[in-house]
Amino acid sequence: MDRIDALLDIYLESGDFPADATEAECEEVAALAASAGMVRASAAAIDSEARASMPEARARFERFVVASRPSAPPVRVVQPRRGLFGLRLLTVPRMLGLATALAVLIIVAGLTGSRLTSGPETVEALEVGDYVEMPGVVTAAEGAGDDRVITVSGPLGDIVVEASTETSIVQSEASADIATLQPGAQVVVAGTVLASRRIAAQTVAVGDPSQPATEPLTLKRLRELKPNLAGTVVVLALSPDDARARVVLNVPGDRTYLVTIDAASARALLQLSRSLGAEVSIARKPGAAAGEFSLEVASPQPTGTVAVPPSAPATATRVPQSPSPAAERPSLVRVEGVVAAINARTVTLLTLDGRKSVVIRPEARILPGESGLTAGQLLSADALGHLVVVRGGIDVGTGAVIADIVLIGQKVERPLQNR
Amino acid sequence: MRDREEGQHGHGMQTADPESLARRAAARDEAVWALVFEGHYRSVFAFVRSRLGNPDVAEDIASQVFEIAFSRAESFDYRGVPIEGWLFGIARNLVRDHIKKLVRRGPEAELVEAATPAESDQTTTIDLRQDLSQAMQGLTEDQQTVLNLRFLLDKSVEDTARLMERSEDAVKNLQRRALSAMQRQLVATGYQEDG
Repeated sequence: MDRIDALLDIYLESGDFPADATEAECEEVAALAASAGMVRASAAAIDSEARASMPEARARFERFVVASRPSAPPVRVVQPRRGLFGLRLLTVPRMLGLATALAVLIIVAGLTGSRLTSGPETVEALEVGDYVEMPGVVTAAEGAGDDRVITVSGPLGDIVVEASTETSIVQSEASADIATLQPGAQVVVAGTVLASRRIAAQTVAVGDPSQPATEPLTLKRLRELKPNLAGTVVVLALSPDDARARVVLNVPGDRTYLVTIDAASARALLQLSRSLGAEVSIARKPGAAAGEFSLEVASPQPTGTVAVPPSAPATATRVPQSPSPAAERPSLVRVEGVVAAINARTVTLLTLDGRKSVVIRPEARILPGESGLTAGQLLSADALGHLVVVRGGIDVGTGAVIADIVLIGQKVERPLQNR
Repeated sequence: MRDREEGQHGHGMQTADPESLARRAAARDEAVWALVFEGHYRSVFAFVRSRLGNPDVAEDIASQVFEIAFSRAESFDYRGVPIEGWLFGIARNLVRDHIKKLVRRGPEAELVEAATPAESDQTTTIDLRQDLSQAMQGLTEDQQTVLNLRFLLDKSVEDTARLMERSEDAVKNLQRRALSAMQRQLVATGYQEDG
């Protein structure tokens, strides 16, 4: 080993020079150690940044891990049992006498007779890790202060929604108190699906405070395109990898389908000010994956709702889903503009209404589309000049928009003029 | 200090058999990956941050390191190289790709990126960091790595040798050459030769 290498190593470890080191050697080594000291001096500031960024990075990694889990079988099919074999599956013991078996057969046949040919399927619309936008009515609320767990009854049945300090509560495009999440309140929940039919809410939009709970819909998965299939979007769920989405589609005749749609269709839907309630038609592109469809928006500004008018009793009864143009469903905040500045996780947009600040939280879904950017580049100088559409809530303290979804568009030649 | 604190975070990792942990990590055991993240995030962030001017980009890249590592977990083969070395390898490649992209986009992009100091930078550390960052650019990748591991992450010569898959003598030699090159760069920036 080189003499200076050895002396430097000794000096860095002990702060001393060996007795046999010459003055020239000591000078050379001390100068090298001073450079090392400068690197060390920056360590504290960098570590401080590392600590500050860790919670967001941890949340992002946890979300990634959850999203990477193998998907549960997406469709749970409950089919009517058929024939004598089916009868045996209905726990009829082998030793049961023939008379009893026949009696049970008659009863079962009577109960299920009408379902043998047209039995409905029960499908699971939500998968863990999905970003979901779902309407409903609060039927129970627990917890005080900033942590609140509510049960929301809607088209998918009862879903437990966890609201926390991170959840933005909005009402009429302004921030609202978490206490507004009371039984009877009509809501639209946006958040990430957890296990056991729970949603970690990012934004809850609150509407009419006295709505009745609604009956859950019976969903049937759309496997083959039906002619002239069109209806109203009731629920939207975006897959963890943003590659596709599923919508619950209410079609005339009280039929409801769970439809898997491609990424472009999901993007078209998310660009609307109100995705839920949008009137759409379903098509199928040549070469599309099995069971995947595309969607065309027929009415970009729907006003329909799945709830009944507010005169109905608050929580006493459940009523069937039926569109009611009279009452308007609450909606997430939406802002569209050109990226004018970026400061840490805050993006300033130039909109037709002036400058708007948008906070991009780590859990926000960023859809780069055909913009030429990656999701990570939204917070870099690369995004300057790009048109973006943001959906989400409002920060209580600053009034900034908190993004749940960010759609990045093309770079515009001439940004909107600030007014 | 860093090692001690991270050791506390990663207690489970240090008490369990490394090969068993590697097997569990390769099988994407989420509990093990939570420990991997807690134990190594700050090191990976610092490793990335020392080469990039923008803390948000550093956070993004550090996050990507863990996402890529988790995605490729089955390819991690424990043969004496600790998981931290593997993470640094991924980080090095990501930083290299990022810098290549910046270079392709031209000096303007580099300036924008470098001119985004973090909040913690509201002191004279800004100048020092910027000068150090510039000085680092004049070093080879191995020289940057050895300085980061030894003086930013406070790794011992032995640990650095293991992480860089070199002998301890080679690390000591590389360390001296790196400090010498750094000294020349800093002097060129206007720092006194006596430090």
